[in-house]
Amino acid sequence: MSSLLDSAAGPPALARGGPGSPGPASAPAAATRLPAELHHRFRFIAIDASLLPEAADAAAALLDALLALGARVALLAREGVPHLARRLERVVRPENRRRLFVGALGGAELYGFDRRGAAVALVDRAEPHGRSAIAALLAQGIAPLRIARHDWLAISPDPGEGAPAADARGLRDAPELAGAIHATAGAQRLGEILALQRELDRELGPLAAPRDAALSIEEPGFDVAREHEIESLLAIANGYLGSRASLPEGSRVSRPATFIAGAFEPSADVSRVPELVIAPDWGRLSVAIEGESFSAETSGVLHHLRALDLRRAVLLRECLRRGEAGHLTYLHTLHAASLADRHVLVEALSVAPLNFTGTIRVDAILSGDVKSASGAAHWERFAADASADSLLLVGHTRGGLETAMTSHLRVLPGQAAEGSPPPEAGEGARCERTEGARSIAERCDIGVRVAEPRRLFRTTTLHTSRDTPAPREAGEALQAELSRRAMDDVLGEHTRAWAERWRRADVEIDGAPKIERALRFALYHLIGAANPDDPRCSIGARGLSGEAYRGHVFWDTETFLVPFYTHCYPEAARALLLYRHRTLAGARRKAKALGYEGALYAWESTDTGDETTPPLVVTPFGEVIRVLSGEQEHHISADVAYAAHAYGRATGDLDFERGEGAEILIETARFWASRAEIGADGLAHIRRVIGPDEYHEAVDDNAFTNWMARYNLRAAADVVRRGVAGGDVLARLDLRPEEVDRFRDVADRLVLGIDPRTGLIEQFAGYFRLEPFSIADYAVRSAPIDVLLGRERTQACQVVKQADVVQLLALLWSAVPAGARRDNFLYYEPRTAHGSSLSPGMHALVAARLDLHAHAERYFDQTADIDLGNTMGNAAGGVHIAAMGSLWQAVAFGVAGVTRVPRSALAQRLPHAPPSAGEDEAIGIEPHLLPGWRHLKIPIFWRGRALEIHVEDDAVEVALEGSAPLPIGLLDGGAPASAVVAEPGRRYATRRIGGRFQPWEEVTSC
Amino acid sequence: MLSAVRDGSPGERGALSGPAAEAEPSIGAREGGDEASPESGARSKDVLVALHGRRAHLGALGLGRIIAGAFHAPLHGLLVCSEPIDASEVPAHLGVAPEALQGVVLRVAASEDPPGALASAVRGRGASIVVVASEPEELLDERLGVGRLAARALEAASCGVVVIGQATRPPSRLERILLPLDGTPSTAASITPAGELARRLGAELDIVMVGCASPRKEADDDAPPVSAPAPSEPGAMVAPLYVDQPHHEWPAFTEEFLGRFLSAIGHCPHDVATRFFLGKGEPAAEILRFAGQLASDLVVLVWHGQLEDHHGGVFRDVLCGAPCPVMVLRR
Repeated sequence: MSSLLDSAAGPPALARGGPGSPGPASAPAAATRLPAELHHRFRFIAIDASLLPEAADAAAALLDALLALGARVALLAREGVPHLARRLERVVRPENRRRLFVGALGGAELYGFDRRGAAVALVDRAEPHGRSAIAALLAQGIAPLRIARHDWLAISPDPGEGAPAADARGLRDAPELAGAIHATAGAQRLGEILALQRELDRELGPLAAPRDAALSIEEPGFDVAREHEIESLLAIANGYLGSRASLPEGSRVSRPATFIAGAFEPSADVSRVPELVIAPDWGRLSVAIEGESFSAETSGVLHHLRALDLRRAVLLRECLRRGEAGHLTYLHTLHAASLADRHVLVEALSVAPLNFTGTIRVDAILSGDVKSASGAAHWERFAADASADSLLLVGHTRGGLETAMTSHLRVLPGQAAEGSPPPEAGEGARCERTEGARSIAERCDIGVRVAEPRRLFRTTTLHTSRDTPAPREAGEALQAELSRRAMDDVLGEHTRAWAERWRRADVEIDGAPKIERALRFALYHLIGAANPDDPRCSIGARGLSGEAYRGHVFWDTETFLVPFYTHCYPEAARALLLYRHRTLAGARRKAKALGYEGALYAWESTDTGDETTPPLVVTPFGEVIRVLSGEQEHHISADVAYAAHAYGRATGDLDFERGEGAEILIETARFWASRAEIGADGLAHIRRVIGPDEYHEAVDDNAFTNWMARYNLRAAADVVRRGVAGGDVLARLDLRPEEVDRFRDVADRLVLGIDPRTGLIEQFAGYFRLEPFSIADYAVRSAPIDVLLGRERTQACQVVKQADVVQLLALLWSAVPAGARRDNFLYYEPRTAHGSSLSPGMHALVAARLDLHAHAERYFDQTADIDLGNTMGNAAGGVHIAAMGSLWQAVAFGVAGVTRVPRSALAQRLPHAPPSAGEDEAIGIEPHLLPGWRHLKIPIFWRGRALEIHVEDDAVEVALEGSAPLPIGLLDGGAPASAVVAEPGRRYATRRIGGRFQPWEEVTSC
Repeated sequence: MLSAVRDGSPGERGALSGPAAEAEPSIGAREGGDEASPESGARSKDVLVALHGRRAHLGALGLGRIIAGAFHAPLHGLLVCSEPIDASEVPAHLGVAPEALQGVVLRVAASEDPPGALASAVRGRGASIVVVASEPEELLDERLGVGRLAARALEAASCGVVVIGQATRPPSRLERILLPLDGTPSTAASITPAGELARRLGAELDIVMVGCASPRKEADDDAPPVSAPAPSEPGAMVAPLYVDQPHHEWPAFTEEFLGRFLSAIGHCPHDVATRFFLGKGEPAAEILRFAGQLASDLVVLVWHGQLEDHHGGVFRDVLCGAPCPVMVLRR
């Protein structure tokens, strides 16, 4: 993060705000006198608390304002730490105290603030490890958020202005703060420093990168080796489209791509499998300064930073460059895919000449000159129209899709006009348009004056013939409306749409900032990948962030993503499940082609639901081998059914349960009933399948498959028995009672593989007899385990690719005997290679539920690192969105222990609860807070009500929003410990006293 | 066997199109980039062949001619002997007709320490390719496992040195060049000179990376259950830790790996056909296996000049055991 002057970037004399520089008219005069290195937007500020009594209320108010901007602030005192912490409770608003710390200067004592804003000891004075408060704070609260040292500011008292004795240890002496910017101040100067910090944010407005590191992902510099990964991580999306975070001006390694969800065209591979359409490139707003093109790649770049603001869902960029002739220019850009109107893309640019008055040239381009990674050019032809009110590019793909993109660039006359609709071009700007065979561009030459930022704002629209019969007209009408609105208005609407999503999804974890940040990163991509308004498409394995997996839809969506949407974005969950309903025809075709009844979903699905798994793969050793997952990985049908059933139960969406949900359950049950074979032993076997552990192919009675099939069969029978399934559905499917009986019969006979002696579930028939294997011998590796072992040995030994029986535990927890869960986890975990990104999150979930804390912590860490760790290129093709879903599940279902409980199980605890039609299940909470996690807050949507769940050590609190009461059970050791029928608008808490949870009590506030 | 990605023809997969691609600098422009490349001598003034022994020089000469021809560079022959002789006497000294040395600029260095003299000559000549063959009966250098003459040249040279081992039969053509990479930008810097050499020769470049595994340290309780090795340098890349679906992951990884190393960090000419292979197990043995299996004509290695403290073990083993000549590029 940087101000207009990076401390390492340029000469202070040329920088705005430094000594001798005029500074902006709006900046406080005193602030502009501050040293240049303080004109930087710091994210962590340590202040010697002895300054506070002098600074008094004014500084305290500024402190509060600074915290509100997202900075983390630590006050270090020589004595009276608890007293100071309590004093701050009075002057800093509670919601801001979460980023405030109070510690001992030269001691170990460290305080933070809990969710209620009350001071809590993070490190006790008595703790023996001897780490200083500063060191503890950095380790616990700063390092996990990756706040760089040049973003740290330490403020000590001015020598001679009441400064402590010369021999007293101060912030300057703290070795832990080496690399920070150090400043000295008295009371007045402290106020000026803090005021300047606030002012810097105000000046940048919406182009300011967030200071709160828990809500942003930052990528400094430019590294050709990591560029593809960064383009994925920082991608913007709104469920309708997704755009990689490529540099607007391009680079020699840039791979820009904008994907249209659900739109597929054949790839250029031998297999010709469908792949996501790459839309015309819209994100090119390139700049030339005094005739010299601006590029992040060139040597004149003094500072370059890209930041993804997770809260506002905007991609920001700041860059300071010295041109070959010495022109110093600061650039800020913003890109967003509007969530308020999914057809709208937003781009903003601010150019600030620091040492010259001259001309900049800006090119805004819509370019159809794009190819997919497979080499396919999806576009047959384009028609550009420069005569329209805005740029217009109409394209037709070879498959018949028509798209229309419009683009409108405005040169804003100045910051003062930001709040009102601007004219078409600001003063001093001259624009002209050019069109080519595949592109259209607008070029503006704009006069700029020294030290005066100039802003441009561009809106782009995208419509396709999938949305409307007249994409061009729709685009032009929308663009006309947008052109009448101010930038703040368009951006504000987008931000508000995201705020609503965050309100329904945001998770807070006090005590685990790394996991909290990773989870927010996950939530950002999860929210951006879904479109509740379009049931024709689902979410591919890399979301809308990259081309890997070609946008194909796997079991990942239902097993790892839909649970999140069900509880935080039910409209999106419904759309995703409706996609599976719409593709039932393809699933029926696949089942029939293989000789079965009912519906067998495609292992890889695109727009039609037909199987699109490539038939062959070239291994890293050059072997060409068949890909069997499309033929044998049948558990996907049960996975879809499970998700549909769980969605219906959790949301109470009766329309779905009666209609599409019932049809999915019945058709998939039909498949299993025909798929299972009754053997001579009288048991039902499912032979020649691949389970989640894809290292072992063509196995018989894979436990996960069989248990999930049993669930599927019983759930289908149950919706019929309970009369949930609509009569029209039953009639259409011609479902007869004897067929439902067969569902139950096959379910009861299915082989479950439980060893009655040990309780272990055999992953598939014969697994226990395979060669023993321990992953510990291969824990650190530079190639996947199946590559290292070779195909033959992999299949002959007990190595497990990913959670399989453990996956079963995660999904069917209550179906597995309580005593067997732990044993199964501890048996399979040491054999699991985690060769799939889906695996660590499920292990975190199950380990948390089993209170295997060390395991859980390690798996949480590993899941958080899948995209955000140093993955060395693994994310280049897109983020691992299913792993993100698994991280949420590990928190929600593992740590918070959210589960469904039969209402009957709570009967004893709720003797006076009024009966509720159709609500035979209640929500259960079985907390398993991990060591070091002081507080977890998670919102959960449940049957039309919004629950806010707080889990603390030995306490659980819930707040209910909605229109009807909701029964809530608190489970302990798997058994109901207390229950309450919560009333909307009220809060309830239960505390563990003497090892037992007490009855719920209504509480008045958080 | 192969996991080919680039066939050397224009418009290969993953290529950028449009203005971003058009802005891509030419190969020549890239070569002046910020990443230092090992010195191959690819554009140097001459190719120097060490003339010694009764047989070894013939193989070295043949290889020297191929390389010099590819670069249109002069071919120099240096005879190091204990007695000073005239250049005109060199053919007789080597026991060949003068025509056998046609086109070779002959030089003589008299010294009692032939390896030292060669090293001195190599050091003094700056950037050129040196070709040295080892005589079967020549004493081996214990550290490097090749003849002493070659060893001294390797230690002294800052340019590329092609070593023809004692048991190696020099190829008559260089059609397949094997380039082992360990995923670090350091070794990837060899791509530029190796790619240029391949382009000049019309040869194919086979890139091999070897993956391996090790147990977690017992004391490391907080370590993740599985992990990739800590990258030794920024930008390093190993095979993916997670391969959710191999038929999607491997092509994507291969494309990313080659894109990163052939076009971003290193700069391999686009018209060079490349193949990518992932090996497994002990790196030197695997590289040698690939060299044999792919019938490589030349192996290109990067050497940082160290052999102590477990450094350079793979380099030494490949250098000693290669079934074909090895070109060593210094870092």
